[in-house]
Amino acid sequence: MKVSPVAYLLKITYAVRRIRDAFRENKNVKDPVEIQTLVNKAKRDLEIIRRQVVSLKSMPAVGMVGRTHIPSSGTALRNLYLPGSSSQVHIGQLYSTDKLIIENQEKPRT
Amino acid sequence: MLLRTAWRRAAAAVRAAPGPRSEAPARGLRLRVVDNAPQSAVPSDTATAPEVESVLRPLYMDVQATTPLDPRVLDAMLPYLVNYYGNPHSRTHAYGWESEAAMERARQQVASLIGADPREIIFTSGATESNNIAVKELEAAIQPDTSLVSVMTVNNEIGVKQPIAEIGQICSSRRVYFHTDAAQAVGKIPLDVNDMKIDLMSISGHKIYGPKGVGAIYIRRRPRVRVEALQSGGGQERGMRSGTVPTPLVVGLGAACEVAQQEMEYDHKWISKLAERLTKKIMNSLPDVVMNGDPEHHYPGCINLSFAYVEGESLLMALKDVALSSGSACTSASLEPSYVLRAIGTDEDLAHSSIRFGIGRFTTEEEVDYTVEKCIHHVKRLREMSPLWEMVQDGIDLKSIKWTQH
Repeated sequence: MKVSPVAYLLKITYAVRRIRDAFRENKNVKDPVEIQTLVNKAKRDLEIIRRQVVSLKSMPAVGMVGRTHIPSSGTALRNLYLPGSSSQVHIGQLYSTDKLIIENQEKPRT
Repeated sequence: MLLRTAWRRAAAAVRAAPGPRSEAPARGLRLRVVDNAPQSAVPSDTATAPEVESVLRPLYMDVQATTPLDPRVLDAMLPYLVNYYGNPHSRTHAYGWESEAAMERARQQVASLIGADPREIIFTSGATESNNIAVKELEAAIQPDTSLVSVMTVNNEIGVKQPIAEIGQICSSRRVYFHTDAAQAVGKIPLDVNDMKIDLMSISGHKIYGPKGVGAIYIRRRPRVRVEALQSGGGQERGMRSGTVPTPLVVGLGAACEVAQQEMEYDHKWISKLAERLTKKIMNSLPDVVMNGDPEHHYPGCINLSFAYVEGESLLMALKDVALSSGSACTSASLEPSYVLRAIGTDEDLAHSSIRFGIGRFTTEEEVDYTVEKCIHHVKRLREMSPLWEMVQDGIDLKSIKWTQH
């Protein structure tokens, strides 16, 4: 059973709507350079979504008015509060780097 | 020991139970794993994140009070909370350098949203601190005829947009400093400090889908505006605001500003659409509803409605599954009606019956429809109970009544 934090249900609806509208807005773009820029930005945004979904999956789910009640499992909550829990380690791995690098002026992460 | 085994058995039973649960037996079950309790004690407010959620959380329609973090902002902040934890003022090692680079990048993002130079942005702990710095500046002024005009760009209670460009024009021609608290406006309406001739501007992080506890103040360099530091210490932020700059928070603020710049037009369209839906539906279904604030110069995301013959607080309590407010959060502790409504000349009784609906980037149509439906239902119900409403239905003019004292 998929467990998702309710706050993220709103963000998911937003993301779906935003992505669909962005595709519609840009459907007539012909310039290949511009298309490539848009695709690169989309890839970066996709990575953001992927990281957020993975790192926050272990958050306990709560129900919200108007949506089905999604009970969370006891283990998920335990993992969240224990030191060195899987979610902390997970988040660290997603945002880690092997060696210390000076910030590139263009982007903090390549 | 017996209790612990009983809990474990209950926990197992709960996990095995399929589907949504019915009320009474499940309520009050708390799966606190006492035997493995870590030193970081499970916070006592686990009521907000219970394992077995017996109460559903309300819809959030109070974006003027605060906004949730945009996922893009959280994504930008997490590396600086987990891995890149250096002090940005450390000059001697890479931890400091990378943290400083992130801080300067955030400064550039904030500046570009308002058309300023990055050297004119000072990070603070929020718009309140920025306001205090700006107003204290008045005392630091040397010339005898210096004064300061301070205006809110978008009001947080009724959503009215002030004519900032015109005020800025007047102030610059009279050589008077112009400060604006743009906490509710930054990232939502286009702002340019040079076009609008703004000298000082307060920015708040948590009103634009950024983190709480951070803000910024814009201080014009040309012509130079001198401010006196509220907080003195190590001389950070050009001596105007000492104290270590919180890198994760300012990175979040910068990311929030950048996202806001990209999404401003799209958000405005969406929020306007939802706002119109909400007001039209409510006003078509209920009589005697007044929208407070100028309808023309109005930011659509903040809708303040007064429902005549219904008390605002009772309506808020009735709408318990929607998070709303009846005025500004900063003055919510007092029982007086809002000073803003009083200032625009609203009648005392209408001022007591006002509710503020906040629509933001993440608000959905379903949430608006649900809120509208509940609002209409409860207003009708409360009006049925109201003797004033009865009198009005009978055609009595309430203003002509002479109330006797008992």
